[in-house]
Amino acid sequence: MNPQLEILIMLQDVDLMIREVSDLKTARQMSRIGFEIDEMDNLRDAREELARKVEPDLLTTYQRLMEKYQRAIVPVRNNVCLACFLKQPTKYSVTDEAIRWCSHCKRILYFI
Amino acid sequence: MGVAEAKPSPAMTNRDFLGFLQSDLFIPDLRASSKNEAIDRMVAHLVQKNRVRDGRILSEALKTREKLGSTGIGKGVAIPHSRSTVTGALTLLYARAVEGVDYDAVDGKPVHLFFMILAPHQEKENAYLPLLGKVVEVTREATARRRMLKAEDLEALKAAIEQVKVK
Repeated sequence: MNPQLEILIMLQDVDLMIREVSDLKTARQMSRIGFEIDEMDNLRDAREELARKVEPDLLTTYQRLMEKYQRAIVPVRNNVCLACFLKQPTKYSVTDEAIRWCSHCKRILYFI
Repeated sequence: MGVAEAKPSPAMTNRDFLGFLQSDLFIPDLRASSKNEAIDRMVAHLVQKNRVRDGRILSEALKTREKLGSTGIGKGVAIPHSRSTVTGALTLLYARAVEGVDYDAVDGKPVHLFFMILAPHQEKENAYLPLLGKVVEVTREATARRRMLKAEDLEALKAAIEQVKVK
């Protein structure tokens, strides 16, 4: 996998984790189950550490996509983008070293 | 909050829960000397069983989640969990650690029963939190935990869970 894409996916996972645990309803549910959210700063530090490793242009694109769609990187299954459900060019494949963007919604693709 | 105090999840039945337990996601004897090693070994198992392609990304998500507070909830139980972009479906992996793993659990005791829960960022059924709650519920009783630790295969584990009295 493209090393920059790998870091970007890790970054998205942390960003969405921060968003999820910052949601009061989810935090209440987690607390009811038995998990208290104690160390949000650790999560923010982890986020910043990952963000520093992403090339600036790619990071800007990622942040723009996150603002627009809530998720910048979306799974692809059977060559279909699972965000907009449109077919991708057949030349795209799981073994691609290049970062691929959905040819329709322009989100970054992850071949699941 | 420890295992004994946690509230049950009203949303998931025992039957639904048992459906998540699969024979290829059962590790009969996990051996690890630390939390990170335990996570890496469980993720490696998922990769080996073709449940996940990029284990490194998943390990990172699970270890980052631990930074919020240990998922070692005490009484020998840990529920490492995370959503991740690389996870295609809600998945439950069970690992039994006969010798126990130093997992930085809330009570400081070694962990013998691991229930690893993984979910995509978007799941239609919205069963991630109910599944978490269900694991807490079925591991609450000491007798149930003892039976689970004795279970050497999936059928024995399911039988142990079926005996848990749901309040």
